[in-house]
Amino acid sequence: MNRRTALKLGGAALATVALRPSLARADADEGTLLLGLWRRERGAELAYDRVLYADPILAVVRSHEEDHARAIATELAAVGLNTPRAPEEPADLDFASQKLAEAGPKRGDVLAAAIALEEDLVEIYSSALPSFVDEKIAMTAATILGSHAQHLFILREVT
Amino acid sequence: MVGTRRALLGAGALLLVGCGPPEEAEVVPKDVLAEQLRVTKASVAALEGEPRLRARAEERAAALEQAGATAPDSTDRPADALAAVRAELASHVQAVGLLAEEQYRELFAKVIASAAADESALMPTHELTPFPGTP
Repeated sequence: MNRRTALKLGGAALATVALRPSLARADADEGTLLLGLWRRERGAELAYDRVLYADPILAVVRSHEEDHARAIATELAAVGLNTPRAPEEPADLDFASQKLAEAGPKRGDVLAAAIALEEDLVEIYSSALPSFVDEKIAMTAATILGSHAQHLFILREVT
Repeated sequence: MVGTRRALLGAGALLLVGCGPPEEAEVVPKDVLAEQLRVTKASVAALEGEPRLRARAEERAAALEQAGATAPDSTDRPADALAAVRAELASHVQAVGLLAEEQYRELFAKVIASAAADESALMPTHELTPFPGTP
């Protein structure tokens, strides 16, 4: 995991793993990544929830983020980690999700923020992919990367 | 050791009859890359009527070739462009599980993002799934 990815995923995930010294190093690295990705997916889900009125496609994207978070939680359990408390308010979110949550009410502003968020997620998953040791976790991340690339394409089309 | 009772019994039975777990087939990067290029070239052929998407598939093929992949050009033109791109995407996602080296994963991330976008260009939005490239 490079420094940029780690920073984007947030210190909370790193801190959570640091509290679990019993984890093997590889598991800890994967756990760190997964916790960060789970938090990003839940953050995106919350952000889309706040702007669903702007375009019908946003409900589809939001439901996918929820499914992604659930899949990542399954992988987290596989490496011995529980999911922490999910973000509940825009103030709890990463920068891109926060921008989307607060982008309304204009449709154009909301879609622009959604595109920025999906660009961010595509970059994060692309950066994270080389770091996964477990092949099943890597494939889960790969398919979620594909999903975010699809969101990005569709959001650009409807703009 | 963590495992279900059934798995433990199964493992014990295998030991008793003198055979261990089946050996995993050796993964040869050259073969994995060749397969990725083969399915990508099938997409190129299938996308003849979609110039923009075809150009993107050609970019993916070029990236794979740059990484050392070799495969003959597709000799037939698949009639179903969506099926071809979908099969390509599924193959790339599988390849992530086969090759863990950084340079391959970086390459696969690029082709997955590109092929996934092309899949969404070929299908109605309501048919999108949260896990493209999986069964």
